[in-house]
Amino acid sequence: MLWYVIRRLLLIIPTLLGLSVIVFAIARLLPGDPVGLAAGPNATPEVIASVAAEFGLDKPIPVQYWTYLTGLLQGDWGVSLFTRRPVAADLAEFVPATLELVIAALLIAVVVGIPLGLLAAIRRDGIFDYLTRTVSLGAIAMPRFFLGLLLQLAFAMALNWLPLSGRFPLIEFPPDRITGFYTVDALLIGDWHAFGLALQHLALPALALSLSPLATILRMMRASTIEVLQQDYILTERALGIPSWIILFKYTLRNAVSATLTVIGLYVSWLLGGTVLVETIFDWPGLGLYSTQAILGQDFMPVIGVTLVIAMIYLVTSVIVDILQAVLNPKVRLQ
Amino acid sequence: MNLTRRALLGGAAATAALAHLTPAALAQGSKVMVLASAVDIPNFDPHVATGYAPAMLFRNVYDPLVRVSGNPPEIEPGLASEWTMSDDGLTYTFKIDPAAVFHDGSKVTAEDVVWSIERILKLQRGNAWMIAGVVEPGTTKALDDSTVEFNLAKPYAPFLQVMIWMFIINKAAVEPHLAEDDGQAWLMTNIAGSGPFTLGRYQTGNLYQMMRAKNDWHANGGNLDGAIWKITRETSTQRLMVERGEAHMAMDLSAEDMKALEGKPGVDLVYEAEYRTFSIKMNTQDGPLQDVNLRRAISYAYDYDAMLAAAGPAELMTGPLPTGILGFDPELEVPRRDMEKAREYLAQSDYAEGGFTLTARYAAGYENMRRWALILLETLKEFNITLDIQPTAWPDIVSSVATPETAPDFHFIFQTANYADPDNIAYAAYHSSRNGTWQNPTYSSPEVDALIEAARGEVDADARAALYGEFQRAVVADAPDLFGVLEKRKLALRDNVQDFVFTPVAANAVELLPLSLG
Amino acid sequence: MSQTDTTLPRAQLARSARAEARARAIYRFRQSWLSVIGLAIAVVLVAVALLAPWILPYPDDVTGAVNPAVAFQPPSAAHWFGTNSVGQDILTLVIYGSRISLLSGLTVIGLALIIGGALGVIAGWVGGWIDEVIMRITDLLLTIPSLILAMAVAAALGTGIWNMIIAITITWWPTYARLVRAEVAAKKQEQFVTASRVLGVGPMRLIGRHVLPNIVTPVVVKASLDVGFAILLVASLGFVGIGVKPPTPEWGTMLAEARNYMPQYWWTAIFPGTAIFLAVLAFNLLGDGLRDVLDPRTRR
Repeated sequence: MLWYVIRRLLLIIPTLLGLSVIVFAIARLLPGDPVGLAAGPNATPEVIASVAAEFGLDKPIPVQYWTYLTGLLQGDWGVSLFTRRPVAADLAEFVPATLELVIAALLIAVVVGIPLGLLAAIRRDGIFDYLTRTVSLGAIAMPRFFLGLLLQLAFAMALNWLPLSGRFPLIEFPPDRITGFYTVDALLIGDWHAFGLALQHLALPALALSLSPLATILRMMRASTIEVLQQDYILTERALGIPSWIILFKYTLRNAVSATLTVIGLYVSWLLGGTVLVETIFDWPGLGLYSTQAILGQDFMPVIGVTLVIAMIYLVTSVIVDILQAVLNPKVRLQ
Repeated sequence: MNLTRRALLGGAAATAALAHLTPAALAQGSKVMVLASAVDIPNFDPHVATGYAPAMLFRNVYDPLVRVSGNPPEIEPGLASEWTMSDDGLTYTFKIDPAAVFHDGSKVTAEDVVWSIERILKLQRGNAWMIAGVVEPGTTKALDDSTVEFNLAKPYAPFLQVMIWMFIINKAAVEPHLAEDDGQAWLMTNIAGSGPFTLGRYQTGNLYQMMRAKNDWHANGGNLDGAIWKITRETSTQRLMVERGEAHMAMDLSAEDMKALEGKPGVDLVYEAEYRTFSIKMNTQDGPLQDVNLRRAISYAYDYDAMLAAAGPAELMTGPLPTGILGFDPELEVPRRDMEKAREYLAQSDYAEGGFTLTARYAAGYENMRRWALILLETLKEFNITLDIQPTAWPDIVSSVATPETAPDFHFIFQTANYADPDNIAYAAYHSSRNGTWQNPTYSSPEVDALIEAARGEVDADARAALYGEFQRAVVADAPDLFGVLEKRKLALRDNVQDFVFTPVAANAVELLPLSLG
Repeated sequence: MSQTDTTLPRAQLARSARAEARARAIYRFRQSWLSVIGLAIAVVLVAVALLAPWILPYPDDVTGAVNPAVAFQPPSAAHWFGTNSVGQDILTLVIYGSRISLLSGLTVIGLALIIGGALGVIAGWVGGWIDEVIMRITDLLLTIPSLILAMAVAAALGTGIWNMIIAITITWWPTYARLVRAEVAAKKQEQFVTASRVLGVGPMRLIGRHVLPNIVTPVVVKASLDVGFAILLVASLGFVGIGVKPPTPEWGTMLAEARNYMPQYWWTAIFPGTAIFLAVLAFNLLGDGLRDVLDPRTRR
């Protein structure tokens, strides 16, 4: 078991290495030349050449890659062409924002999806069951950006219940950084006022992001619960007069955890990609917004950095999910 | 930054959790003005960065020798309390205000000015092109602690106008961080100025906070404690922020946003003419548009009325210069839609039959440019020419115009006058030395070059105006551009913002100094 | 003599068995009313896309005609879905947009199938280091969220429908390569394949006649589900501003533009947004239904 975990974690390294080659190649071989812009609108050819030299872009691409890789090993993720800021510092700023959003979305999906799925299974083929199944089918097909817009339209523009966009009120300072998650940091320092503000800003984007995994969790939970309910031993226990909520709790708990894990495994990549759209709509200062700006500006280093970080989050999560699945379910063999 | 998170808000901190949602919540609290803008401030070095958002920062945390204010814009004292020009227009002498101090408390000296000017000339970045060839390295002298003398290489009429963009840096503060790059790395993220504000917390791509400098020396300032430059990419979000009282000023509103804000309580709308031109530049060195008659035909066929209707509050340009600027000729005859004339010119060109495709490129995301491109597409259909519209990322546009072969046939471009002088647009957009840049990819005419150079060296205003008159006629005859529109600057302000004076020079790089919140 | 005697009834038997299976499948499909709805929407969508040139209320708007005088008209008898910022009829643009979305969605899946399928067959059949290389690249590409990868490639290639299709295909083929490889590798081990190889049947023939037909079902199910998601990705690219060139109407691009006019000109957003939703929904339901029909084992 331990050996398996170590091996899986070690395998992440060559994967990232291979990925860095591919992403670097994509970023550098495709057309487009932002150096002219980085040098400024009225730059002379000499200035443009000096900017290219400053960033090492005048060297052959393999040399550029080697420089990048050796820097990466020392924690240097390169420098943005436009802002000239170290990519590592930007990432440290934006990664917690995105993780906070993604985790909040998963929380909503689990907390709402599991009970709804259970309920749908118990009241199988009832109105509630049909309703949730239809809505959940629609939820999976709903474009996140359209949903985000509709939520904004309803809760921010029309009803004015929640803020339109952003992560925190402008004229207030967010809680001092401990984890970088505003909600967690506010709780850690016991600042309920800040916690409330952070939560209000988090609500709509997290909701927009959560709908698809919520629907999936709901469907899985329903299916597995129906399976459980049809087992002979359940029928027996029922016949013995054990209260049905105890039976349910006993046998569906594992299903709930397993469904949650599966959905996390399935949706990590989807959620990280989905933040691009949701962060754009809600002006959420995270990886998605950062990568969109970088991609549109063809700013290589941030693009490569973001991709590697996202891949890393994805790979580590997959390992954790696999291990937890195995721990929970001895039938799954780790190889 | 040793500011506690409550310090900014002061007594208003105790507001209920939902308070920020109620309009006018900002007004009750501190004197912090929130400005919503789509443009980021990637670099804090006033001698390197350009664009209106960095310009806003520099205007507030740094000081130039002179400032500009009002409409029409007037030169006003900045760091220099007074100045003189010699009769030949070659020597300018500035007296530095004795009260002027940097944020670290040290006095601003003539030595700082000389050092800053030399740094600008050495780096050749940012706004250095404005004084290139006019101020030579080593010619600027500190006569004493508070007197600076500029010795120009040739007379240069717009000299004072461009000096508003030459910001003075605290030499002593930068010197320990000079390194190999003249302090570029350090100044990129640090401020060493004397402006009325200093930079507080900031987050790239999100927000920048300015705070009143502790030892602010400027007289006649307003009551602002600080300001926040909030990056808000969607103009509709900017509009809603002003409407809800979450922002005091929105910088990039569209005509539709302005219309939606009309009559909303607590919102003031500003529509002002500005020296910001839009034109469609044609490729005069490659492809069919080398043919002047085809260019004229298109100039007469383009539907200017539709363009104006799609633009929102705007007026059509009359020739290459913005309306109202020195030397502008209101009587100038420019092409307007006249299909008969257009067909005449087309018949004289080598392309009377059409049957080919031209390309048009504009910076992706500019809604109005998309509309104008569609109008051009309609126009060209009448000549049996197809238009390939390519919304393109701005970096790619900049690199594509480097050579005539890679430049598009139609190049869509907004240009903002950085200084209130015709030389700005004339030189940047029509002088052949600027070929290959986004302001003038291909147009080159020895006659026009000579007129521009003569006008920039002429000190007598009437003689200059006459030269610019000739310049305008020469350019119109060549038809290098479809002269487009001057969009009105559209700003929305909360009505508690006081003493706002519109200045048509980079109007959205707002100077905070005179402003107050009521 | 004996040949005809034995093959005829067997063929007949097989045919009737197949017919019965088909009848059962259709029954299963029709039983699921959601799949029928999906099929109905998809049929309407395809019909609208095919008939577009004849049913457009304002055909000129598709090629970029502008009419600022009637900008931002709310929905009315003349303009069922209202007009946009330059006075174009939104119904017209939405109808024509169905062509763009369907065309790119189907092309992406088609290309991904061909590329991914070919590489999957090679990897699964040949094995060895070729298999290793192909599958490692596949794994690598699958670690990047497809939207981000597609954005990066599309941004670098520039706007335009084909650039967009290329970008999305690059992100999509790996899933098919993986699927096809797994099936081919499994089939390769089966006895009849081994037997045929011993008998000297060529690999092309073997793959084409015996292996590929057996993996059609999972691939078709996946492809029909994927068309919806490909349409969604196309719209997403349009939404972030890396889509088609004007004047081509595309749903995601229309929605992105409409964002600037919320909430007062809501119709500019609601109709293209709903169109995206319906198209994705249709192919999702259809795919679900097909899975129930063709691949009942995986039914939940």
